[in-house]
Amino acid sequence: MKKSILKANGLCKSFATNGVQTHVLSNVDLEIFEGDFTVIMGSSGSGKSTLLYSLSGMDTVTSGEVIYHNQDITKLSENGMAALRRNDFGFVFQQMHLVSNLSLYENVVVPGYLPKKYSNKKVNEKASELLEKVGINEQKKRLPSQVSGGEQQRTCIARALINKPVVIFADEPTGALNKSTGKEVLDLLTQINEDGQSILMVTHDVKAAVRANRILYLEDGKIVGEMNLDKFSQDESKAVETQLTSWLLARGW
Amino acid sequence: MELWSIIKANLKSKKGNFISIIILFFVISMALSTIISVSMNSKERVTTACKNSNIAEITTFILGNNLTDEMIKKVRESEQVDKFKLKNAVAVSRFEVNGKKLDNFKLLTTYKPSENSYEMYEEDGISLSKDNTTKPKKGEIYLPIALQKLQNCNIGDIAVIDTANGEMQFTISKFFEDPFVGSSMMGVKILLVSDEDFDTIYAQKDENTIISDTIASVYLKDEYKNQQNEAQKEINASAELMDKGFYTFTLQDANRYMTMFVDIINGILWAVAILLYIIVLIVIGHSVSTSIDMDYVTFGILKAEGFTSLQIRVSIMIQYLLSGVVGATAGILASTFIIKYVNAIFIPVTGLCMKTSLRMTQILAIIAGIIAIMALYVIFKTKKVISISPMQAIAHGRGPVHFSGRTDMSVVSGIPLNINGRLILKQVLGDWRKYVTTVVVMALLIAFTMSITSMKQISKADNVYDVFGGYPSEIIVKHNDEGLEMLTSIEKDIQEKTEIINTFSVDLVYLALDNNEILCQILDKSETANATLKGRVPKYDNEIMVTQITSDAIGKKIGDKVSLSYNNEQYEYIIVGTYQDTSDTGKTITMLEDGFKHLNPEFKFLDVEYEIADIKSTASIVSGLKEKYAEAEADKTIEIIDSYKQNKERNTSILAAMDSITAIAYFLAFLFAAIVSFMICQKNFTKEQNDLGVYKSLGFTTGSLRRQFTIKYVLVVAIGGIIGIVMNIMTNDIMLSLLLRNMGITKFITQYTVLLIIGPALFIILCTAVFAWIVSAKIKRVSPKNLINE
Repeated sequence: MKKSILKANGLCKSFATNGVQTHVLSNVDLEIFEGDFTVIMGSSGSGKSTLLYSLSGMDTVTSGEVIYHNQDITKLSENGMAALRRNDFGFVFQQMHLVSNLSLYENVVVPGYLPKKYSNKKVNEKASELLEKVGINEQKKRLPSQVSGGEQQRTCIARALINKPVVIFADEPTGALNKSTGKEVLDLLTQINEDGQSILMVTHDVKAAVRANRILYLEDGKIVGEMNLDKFSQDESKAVETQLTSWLLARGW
Repeated sequence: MELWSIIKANLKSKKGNFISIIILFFVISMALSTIISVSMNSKERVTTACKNSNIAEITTFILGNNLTDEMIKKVRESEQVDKFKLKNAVAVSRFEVNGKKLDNFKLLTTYKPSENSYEMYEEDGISLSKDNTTKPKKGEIYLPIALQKLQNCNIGDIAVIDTANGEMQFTISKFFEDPFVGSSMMGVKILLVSDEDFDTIYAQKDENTIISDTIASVYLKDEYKNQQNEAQKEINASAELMDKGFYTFTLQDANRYMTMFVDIINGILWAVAILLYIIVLIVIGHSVSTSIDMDYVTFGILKAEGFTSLQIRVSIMIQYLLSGVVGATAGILASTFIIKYVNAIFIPVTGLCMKTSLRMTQILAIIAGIIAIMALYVIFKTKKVISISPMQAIAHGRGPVHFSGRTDMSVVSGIPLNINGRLILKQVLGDWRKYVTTVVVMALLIAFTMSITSMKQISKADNVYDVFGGYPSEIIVKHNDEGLEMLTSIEKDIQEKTEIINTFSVDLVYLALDNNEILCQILDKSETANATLKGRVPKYDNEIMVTQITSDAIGKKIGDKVSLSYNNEQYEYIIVGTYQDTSDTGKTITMLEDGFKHLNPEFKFLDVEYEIADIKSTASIVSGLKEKYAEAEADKTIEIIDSYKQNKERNTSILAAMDSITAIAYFLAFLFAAIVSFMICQKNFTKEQNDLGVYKSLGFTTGSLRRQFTIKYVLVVAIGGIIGIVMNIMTNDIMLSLLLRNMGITKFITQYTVLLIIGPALFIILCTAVFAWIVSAKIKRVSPKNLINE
């Protein structure tokens, strides 16, 4: 039986713009399990990213609860949320969002210094290991503007991993990358998931989605479908993609 | 139309920025409108009032019987002279109100409105009465308005003069506007009494208490009206009129003295306004550059839609132009209210009742000019819009910016600070180019506020001699020949209470230098002289020293000879040194007693001055002396004066006005500093918002990020502060010497105190800290996702 790490109950999110109310999420219930590579899919404007940010505490919710370690994180104070982001959650953004005046290496170590769990020396060593793992150790002294999109995104993954998060939230991590670079990033995510890292990813790309073992489909702010995927080989990937596409189309994608 | 939509949208979305620009232009426009109007109104007023009062082009005050029929005839026959009028007056030795004696040369005369009418002030001392023809009644006296503050007196107070037959009392019934010598900066004062009282006083004239005087008014022919100084020289050469006179003024010189204080203050405020305008331009430049960087994608989209670079640049310029126009208009309107308060500050010094109207033509011309310069500057700063390519801007945003790594430091370095501290240092050192504008603006503001603070030193009595020149003493003992014998005893009495640091005598007399009057200070010995700026003090009887302003005016320097004359005697002296003294707006010379005896062999000092160690005990010492020597004072053998108190009170009006103007300049400076701090913090926060959102998403607390942002800007401003302090130390003396030259100060020496050095910088740092903290509150209000995505 898989361990539940994050649970959302009746999650609602609305925006008001110039007096007009827009309901993006409507009573979303879901659970994220340890070790899973979960993907949220949906058509444009379905609320995928909003759901991701609401679950991760990166944005506020209108109503509902998100339970993590038996506490509702939507009720946490500013500092409480900051502690979660420091110690338990990691983020990978679509636009990378590395700090522009820090080198790749510094972008990884800075969040590592925050929790004060380990000495700076240990953090530095860990950062070097991660950068080696993601394959950019040789470029670690460069600034983000001096490396490619793929290298930036791999740095973001290393940054997300520095504090051994319980779950990594990834918002369209390949959205700004070309096909081959995107594949490199997905390979990396797959690899760290195989090492036991729980991942919750938002994507509209079927090729990215098939990396997951669990796919949730979001339509008009509600989860309207769930699909589990078993492991498959390289030869089976096309068939799996086709199967997934049919499943999505049947749900209005 | 399409441009207007963009302009409106920008004005709405960045209204904080444009409101700040409006306020800055409001301040500058209000200051300039007031300065221009006050300056022009004062010149207009003095000219109009002198014309209405029928003041002559040359006026000489001649004591006693020095004016002969021969002189009168020669003056009337002079080629330059149209009319020559004489009026009787008396110089009184003592004029006292509420226990305060008036130091100036005091002339009592009658009021003849049909010949020389003056405007009378209402009781409020600000507006003029409609009645200027009523003469003083018996027992009444009219005083020039400047004496109200100088003597601290009001209508109804009793003024006392000495006559040979004892005291005479007058009730102050009116204050009038004397446009000729009514300024508190001038050493002559005309006091008006009734015909009857004047006849009584005149009949008692003697050589000590009531000295007869003639006010000789020379009206020039039209063709010589603009050559008053030359005409004065010619008339003096033939009739020796000025040689015999105690004071001589041309109308042009007198008008200049009358408005001198306004001119000096306006000069200072102009310097303030120009500096603030330069700061505004720097801030606007920074604002424009930052806005272009942040709106790169928007401009790319506009270009993709077909807008040209010129249209985009013009739209940016119009936004700033509109802000400038709104601010300037509001400032002009505000100045209509404050001008009357500024006039009220000047009345006690100038004695003039200036108009409160604005000089709209000149104001609009200058304000239009500064707005036009700002618009052109904005157009210049927007030239990088030309290089924006639509697709690059939309696809990638601002192109990559590489930083030079020379001053950069790694957050991994071994510096003993936590991660927040290391990030602050890294940003300041690594991204230093980003903060250059902030550093420059803050350095200028801090240097400027230090200058304003240092000007307050002028108004501290303890510093007056350092700045104004003159000879500090606490006790003066005036004496006649009989009184001379009592001096030894008086000195002993003083020494029983406190040490006497210095004993000296100084007298003042007007000499003719190349047929121009100049104030001469006669010293008892070389050691009495103040330190020179160049050269040395006179040691021998044929030596003089001159102020730098005198040296420039006569075109002579150390080593040159000058011819001086007094009462038909003439002698040649060598200039051996230059010094600083603000008496007579800096035009004075100094010689020794032996030197003056070449011109007046009978000369002797009639007073001794004492500089004592325990200044605070002056009042009690003087009081004790007056008690002990009351009899000698009663029969005028000696007179004991508390000169410490007298000196403090002498400059009251000028120092009070300077205090007011300094306070205004302070207020402007600090208001500017606050607004600029806010603008810079706001702009830079918007630029850094994305990174701050990323840090927040990584787990930095709101508090730590706000502290980081605030401390970083405090550090940047502190660097600007250090530069500003150094700038001020290097330039303040030179700058203030230039600004205050018209007062006679050619060498301003700033007395740096801890408060002067640190105070202004601390204030601006505090402003920055407060505004940075306030502006960064958005980190708390907005979620990490919105911080990043906005």
